[in-house]
Amino acid sequence: MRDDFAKGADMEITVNPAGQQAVVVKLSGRLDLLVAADVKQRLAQVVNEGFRLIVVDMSEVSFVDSSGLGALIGGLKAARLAGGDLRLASPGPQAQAMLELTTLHRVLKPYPNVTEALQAG
Amino acid sequence: MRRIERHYELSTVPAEGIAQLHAALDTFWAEAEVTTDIQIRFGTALAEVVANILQYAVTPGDAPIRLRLRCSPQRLEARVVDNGKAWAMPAATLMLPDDWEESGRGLAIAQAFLDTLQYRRLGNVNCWRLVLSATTD
Repeated sequence: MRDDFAKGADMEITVNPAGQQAVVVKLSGRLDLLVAADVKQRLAQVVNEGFRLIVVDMSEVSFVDSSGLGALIGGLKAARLAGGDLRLASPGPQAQAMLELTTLHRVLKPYPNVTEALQAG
Repeated sequence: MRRIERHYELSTVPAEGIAQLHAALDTFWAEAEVTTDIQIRFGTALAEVVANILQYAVTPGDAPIRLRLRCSPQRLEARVVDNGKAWAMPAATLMLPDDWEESGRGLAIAQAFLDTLQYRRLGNVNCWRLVLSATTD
């Protein structure tokens, strides 16, 4: 089933360290049920690699569904368990609407851009 | 909003069905002239319903899901019909779970974005109806 789901999915994941403890994970495409498991696994992997501040760059995410939100929550939980944090940078209008409707913006805090997400206290 | 009615078929292979849904919405919005806010609410709700069908009702290779999109000056409406398993909707499905839950939000999100989300089992098919008033802020 996983193979069926992932086949033809529309998502690129790019990981760029931003210092010793911080990493920027840039997602491009639709963050939906087709890619949620892969994204969650990639976020857990950067936590396992020792990064403590994970900034998910959402600027090129065209659409987020509930499974995509679940993957971000999974990543946030992994980061918090390791004593770190996960922050969102530049969510588009649809992602922002999803975060506000679900009130998940309280835990998945959105920042206007990657720099501010990295520098926030 | 002009009066428009369009019919689409969505594959029961998830990646194909989801790509077809987004393509259908793109072409429909190009004609329907609705605000970005309404596109976001209605499109997101519809994607959640279709994702639910692909995950829980049908199996890849089943007959296509039939989608009818309608808009009028008063409202937007979608009817989604599939030949999959009957859906037993627990009441809790439509409540948002705790912040730390990673699943169980789909239909609650759909309902919250819409004025009406209705499910009926008609003979051997599942029929979902989604309605959003065109005057929603």
